[in-house]
Amino acid sequence: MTIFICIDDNNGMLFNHRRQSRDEAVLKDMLAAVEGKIWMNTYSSKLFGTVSDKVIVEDDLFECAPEDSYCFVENIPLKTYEDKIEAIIVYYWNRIYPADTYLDLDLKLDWEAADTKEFGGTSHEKITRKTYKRKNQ
Amino acid sequence: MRRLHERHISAKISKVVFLLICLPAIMLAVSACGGSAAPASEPEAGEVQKIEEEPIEEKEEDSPAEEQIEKVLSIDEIVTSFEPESSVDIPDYTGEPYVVMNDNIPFFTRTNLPTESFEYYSDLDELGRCGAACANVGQDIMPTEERGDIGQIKPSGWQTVKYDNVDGRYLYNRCHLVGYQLSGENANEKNLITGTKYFNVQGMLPFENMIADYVKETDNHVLYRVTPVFDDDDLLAYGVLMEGWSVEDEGDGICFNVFVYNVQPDIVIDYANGESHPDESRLASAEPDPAEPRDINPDAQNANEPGAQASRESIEQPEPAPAGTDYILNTNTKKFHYPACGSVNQMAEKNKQFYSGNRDDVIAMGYDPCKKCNP
Repeated sequence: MTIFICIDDNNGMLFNHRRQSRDEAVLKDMLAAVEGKIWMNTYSSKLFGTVSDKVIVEDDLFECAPEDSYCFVENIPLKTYEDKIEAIIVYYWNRIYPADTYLDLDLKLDWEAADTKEFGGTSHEKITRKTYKRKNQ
Repeated sequence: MRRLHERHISAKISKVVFLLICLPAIMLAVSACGGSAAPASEPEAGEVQKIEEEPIEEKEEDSPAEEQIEKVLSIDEIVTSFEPESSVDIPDYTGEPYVVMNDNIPFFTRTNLPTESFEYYSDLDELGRCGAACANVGQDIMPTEERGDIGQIKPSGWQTVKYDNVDGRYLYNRCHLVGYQLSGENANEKNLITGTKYFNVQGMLPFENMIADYVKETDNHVLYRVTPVFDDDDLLAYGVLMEGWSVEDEGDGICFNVFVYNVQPDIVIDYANGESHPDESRLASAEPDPAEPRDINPDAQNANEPGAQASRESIEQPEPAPAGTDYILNTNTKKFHYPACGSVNQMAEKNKQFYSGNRDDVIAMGYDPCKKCNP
């Protein structure tokens, strides 16, 4: 399973149960990166409402998505499902936002960046995309 | 004018009665003192009136209740609204740049809000202090040019002072209440207060960024109110209450209510006049920055984080700890500390967790060592 996430400079993901930020360029980048469909829960699917029919909405994401699927995750703790995750594609906002929910995986411990890409967003000057894979792979 | 003065003398640092701060003062400012409200486009009195005098569809006696069209609130009604009708306490500063108020629900009314942009800035009081600023932030009031010079403005409590352990060295910034990136409001003295670098960058800016991104991406509006809080006749605000609510989606995208502390780690501030001095007790014991950054983006980790430079220069590196060592975990920041680390005292009790064991195990649990005590 490959996971897409978005985080700020403090590894923050949410504040008050709401995403910290959004950018249309990230959505397009995600869609372009996946040949098939992207799985996500209802909360995240609202971002894609008018953008793509490549979205599969499933609130029990980690139980239902196939092993080789791509999943966009915004508000689900990942630690519990870490064993199911083969790769993590992280979009860094390169800013600090308010946060009360943080990425609960230590990317420096068990993961290593396989590739990095930078691009401009519609509301962000620079977004950095890093693909992390397990160190033992 | 007396009541305007009372806005400030009613405030207590740890026990602030917001109803006394906000409601009477802002109402007075709006109704009697003539705070400045501006609509989305170039200010024209008629356009303000247009918002204030939005046609009210009165319910006809014989029309069904469900057909009643509710009135869109005026700027005055929005700026002065405050719920609940009881006092609200501000917790003492405990090392975090802001604290959540009212479960993150804004105090202002959140129904029948206009979907047109506007800005409102209270008049300065007799001490030259700012009052509440409020804006319905939309793309049409966001700036299209780089910010101009604001150095000619000297907000109340202004001091030009430098410290080696402050990022950029200058302790104080001229802080926009409604950020320039949201309103394009540049050198407006009614919108600028004296605030520390930490307050500005770690406290206010993240919320402004969040609003700006949302508005740019959705073309919706965010009702945003920033209220500076002064204690007695202090010239320097103890902090600001920041409230935000996305209008079109009724808070689905943006909903927050926080108090941001006007503090600077390792610096003692006299809020009466803005004078300051290093916190000798903390420097002497080389205690860490209570506002240490969380585990951060590896690419973004640098010495530009406020307080980071000071901490790296002032702390000796201890020997590696043996197995079975006692640690204090901060379940919020995901940092771990030695029990004697000064950050522990700054930590909220709810975030403290005692742990005795191996350092590697703590790291494996997802925690990072404090950069000051370096456990």
